[in-house]
Amino acid sequence: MDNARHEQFAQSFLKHQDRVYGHIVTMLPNRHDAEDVFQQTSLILWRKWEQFEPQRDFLAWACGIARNEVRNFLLRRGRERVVLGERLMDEVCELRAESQSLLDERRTLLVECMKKLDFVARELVERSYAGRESIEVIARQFRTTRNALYLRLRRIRRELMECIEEGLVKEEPQ
Amino acid sequence: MSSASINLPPADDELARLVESYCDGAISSGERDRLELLLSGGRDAKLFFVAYLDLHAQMQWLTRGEKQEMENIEAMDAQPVVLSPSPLFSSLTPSFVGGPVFSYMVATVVLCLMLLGAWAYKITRESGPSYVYDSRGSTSSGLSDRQQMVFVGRITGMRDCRWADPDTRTIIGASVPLSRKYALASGLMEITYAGGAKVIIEGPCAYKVESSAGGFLARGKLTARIAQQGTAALAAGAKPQAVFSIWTPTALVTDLGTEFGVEVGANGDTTSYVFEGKVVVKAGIRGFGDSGIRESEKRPATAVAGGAAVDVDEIQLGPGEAVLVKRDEANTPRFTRLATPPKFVRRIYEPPKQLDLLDIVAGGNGTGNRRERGIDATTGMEDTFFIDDTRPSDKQYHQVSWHRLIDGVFSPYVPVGERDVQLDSAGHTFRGFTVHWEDGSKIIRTLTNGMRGPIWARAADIASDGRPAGGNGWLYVMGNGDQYMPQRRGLLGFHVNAGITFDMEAMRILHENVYPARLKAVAGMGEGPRKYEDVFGVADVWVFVDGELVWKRRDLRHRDGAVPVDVEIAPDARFLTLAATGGKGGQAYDWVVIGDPVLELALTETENRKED
Repeated sequence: MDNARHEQFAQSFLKHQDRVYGHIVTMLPNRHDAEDVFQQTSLILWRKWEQFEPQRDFLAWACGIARNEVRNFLLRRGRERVVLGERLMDEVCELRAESQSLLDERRTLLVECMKKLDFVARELVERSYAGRESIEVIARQFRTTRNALYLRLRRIRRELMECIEEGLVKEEPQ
Repeated sequence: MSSASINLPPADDELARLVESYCDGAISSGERDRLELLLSGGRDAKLFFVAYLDLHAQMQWLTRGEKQEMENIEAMDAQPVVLSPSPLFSSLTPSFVGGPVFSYMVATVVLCLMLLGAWAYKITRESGPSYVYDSRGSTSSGLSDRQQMVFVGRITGMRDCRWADPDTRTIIGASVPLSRKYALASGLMEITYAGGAKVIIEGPCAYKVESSAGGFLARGKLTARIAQQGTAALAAGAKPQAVFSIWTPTALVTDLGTEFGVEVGANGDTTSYVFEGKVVVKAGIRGFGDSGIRESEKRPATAVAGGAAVDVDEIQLGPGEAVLVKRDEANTPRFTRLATPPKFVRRIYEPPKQLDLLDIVAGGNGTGNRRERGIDATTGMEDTFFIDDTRPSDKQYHQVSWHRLIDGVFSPYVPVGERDVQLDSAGHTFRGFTVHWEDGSKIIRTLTNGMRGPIWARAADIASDGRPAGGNGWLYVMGNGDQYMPQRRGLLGFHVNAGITFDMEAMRILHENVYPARLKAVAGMGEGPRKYEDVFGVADVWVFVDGELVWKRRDLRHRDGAVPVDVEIAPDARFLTLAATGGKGGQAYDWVVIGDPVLELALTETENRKED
């Protein structure tokens, strides 16, 4: 593969990688599962890059491959996980693809909303989501229980959703 | 409604609850079936699901960088690896190329590239479009350039930076690739290497990051501080740190201890100064792009000591020692010890001057301006609404788990006689809440059970908070309380009987190089409409440090006005406790407020020395 094709791949991949990751998380919300599939998807995208036709939509192509990789993952380890049915998963993926600009706009606001979280909430989010420590360890350090920690994270996600909605209202031209 | 808005179901809605469970991986098969049914119901439900999961994904993505970065840096720590496949490929035999081992290697390299690129792109995207991110400081973003990128650290501090070369501009938080140059016209910038070494460059200067443990200072000043690797870490199998070195046009300064400064003059003369530990200074000639001292330029150096010149290869410096490396007419480097070294900046980070206790009570770290949140003194739980209810005491000290700067809370309850009340998690107690002395006689008063509302961080201007006038309890009914907050920071609402203990050791850990040295606040009694005109608020206000009573005000009333609180705190004190208890006549209208409460911070002794 020549350097120009290398470069094209890098540019396309880097531009869309967080969206591809988001696509995977919709189907596999667990961070470690999603990371595994994302890594595998990245490798397959690279391997199949020669076959990619430049006029095609890279994101759609990448999400299609990600969808297949999620299927493969679930075939291998699906019994341990409770996931949505195949048909509904496809419908959700389709809606996700249609709603990409909506999601992009919300993501921009999410970054701002995360800055507004209080000190404790930010630390909780960073440590819980970073995946370096188990929830049990974090809960112990926050002198709380695993369930209470999950409840707190839910409340934080709720606050963030509401903050995004508020941000969208403010942005709307009067 | 904006085009990106969605219909957000209420938090207690079944769909919302099931999506949250799905997100946390806590959904049962039965709940999954129910979720599928709800999602099949329409586009709004699906869109909420997609948006919620995308938020979850983005939170993972935004917290992903650090982990990824550490993995990348750890992999490169021992020896920088330049991910350029060409030399590797050209050295392989044709039979090897195309074989399974080769394929595996290619796949591994590609995967590493992609992960590295993914991380790099994430950082650049967050850092803004102007950030230059390749080894040469150019703006090209091709993969061939990215292949050269090896990250050895991060920009961890900047102050008043102006750039001598705009192509070397960067921003705080940006990663530092190998071979990156920085040219400052003025200002300070701190690079933290992956191994822990910190380098502060001071403009005007030109510095190039040459390895994972050093760089080339072409001109200007820098200070390097190298973290010592503990023997325990080595025993635990940690990789030994590389020796940290700074090259200059005339010298190589190698760290053997903790902190040193280097200055390179316009003619290349190098001055080295040791703050702590030791360094070895070698003389040599080199410039930007050289991989080492030019062989042709290597020659014995001359040290001038006590008026006599001697040939030496290198010179070792200890704390407080400085040496100048200068070339004479014959281009021979000369070491000259200096009695007066240049001034170096040893700290870029400005520690806060005070911590705002209102911000802390509202969930902050003391440096922000958080308000309108509080803490329940009878449980230690966070309160997000000011509810003016009576909260009975269980006589227990409650450690606060959700805030590292608050040790705990308590509601003193002494129905009869005297009783030890626990003040902090170290077990310090106080027995004197109920003891008064009047006319030389000892009088024991009782404390009624519980308190009203939470300990609350109220904003200075309640009108701006949008709360209805006259509503929401005593802390808002009492009016603005301007006399108690001359600095307009706000009020700590503290209805008796309540106490809160702050952890000052945690503050010292969080805010390096400073310690709480003084508590400053204004105590007062709020006043507002009362059902019983002849009943007034009277309370006792207390301040303890590590269980020792250091300040008190007995029988505080509204007519006393603003009472200044000014308490000195020892550098090693751990706990600061504020408490308010019922004075004469029970706890009715005991609306104690602590206005503008701050902890003034002082520099630690070590930092003071650096200031000097």
